[in-house]
Amino acid sequence: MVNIDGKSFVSAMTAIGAGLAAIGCLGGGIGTGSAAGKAVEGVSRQPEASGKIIGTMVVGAAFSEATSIYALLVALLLVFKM
Amino acid sequence: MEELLPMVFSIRLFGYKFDITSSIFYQWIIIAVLTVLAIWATKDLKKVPDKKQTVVEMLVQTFNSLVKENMGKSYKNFVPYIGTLAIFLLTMNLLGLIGFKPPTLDISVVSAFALITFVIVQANAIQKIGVGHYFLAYFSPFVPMLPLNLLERIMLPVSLTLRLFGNMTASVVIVDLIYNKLGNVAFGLGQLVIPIPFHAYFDAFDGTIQMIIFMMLTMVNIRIVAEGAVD
Repeated sequence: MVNIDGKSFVSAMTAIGAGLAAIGCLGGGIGTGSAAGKAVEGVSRQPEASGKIIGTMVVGAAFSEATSIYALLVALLLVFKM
Repeated sequence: MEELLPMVFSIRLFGYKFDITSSIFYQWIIIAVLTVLAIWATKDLKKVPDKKQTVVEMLVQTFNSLVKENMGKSYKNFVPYIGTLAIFLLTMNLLGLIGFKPPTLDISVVSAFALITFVIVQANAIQKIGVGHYFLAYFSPFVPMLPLNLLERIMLPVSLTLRLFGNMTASVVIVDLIYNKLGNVAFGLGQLVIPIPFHAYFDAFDGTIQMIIFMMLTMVNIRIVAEGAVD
């Protein structure tokens, strides 16, 4: 095997780890899309309640974003702290 | 890349050594500005409101209706806390628009807010249902549910902290990247107009939405922990 010195090996592994951690952002997209789909359905059934439905959709979408932000945080911490 | 957290701004000695970081400094400035604004806006209140008082009354009415809709009528004395939280957090998040690093970038600031909310939630629950019932609720419905109930209570401030901190960090990092890379285009002229829509989305929209989420979660949790899960 070629001799790689320790520091660049750790840097390389950190980069691969950060890339893998960012795959967790998938879940946020699925959750937000699902919430928006149900909201559109609800508005199409009862257009008078559209204000409340849109408000609820925003809150639900932000909840699902939180989980994907956790994944982003892991990736950012890896890149900036090591 | 450069450090994300704000650097130490000044160090003063009151017998002990306190490090005044830049986030504490910005918060003091915001507190001073908001206090002066509040005193000026409520200077002489009349029975028949004029233009300035109408705007202030509209603001108070918004918060009143928000609290009444999400928490019920008996929680009217929580309006000052919710209103202060909303205005303070909104101003801190929008500070990124002017070019300073928003204080919510510092995880100590954000976890301070989450801790205050946590203490208020538990204190309100103890006041409404008594200390004995409060500790009994950890063991319901089965005794082995104790670790799960404890975890759920503690996850609330943790998730509040991480959500706000993560969103603000992501926004600041992306906007910084945009400015750094655009600095190589046409001797810096590229930095003039192009970043504006990115600023509008990442700073203004994101900051506002995160503040609304924080407020909604606080309100809903204050009610749910005291009364059990209501629809």
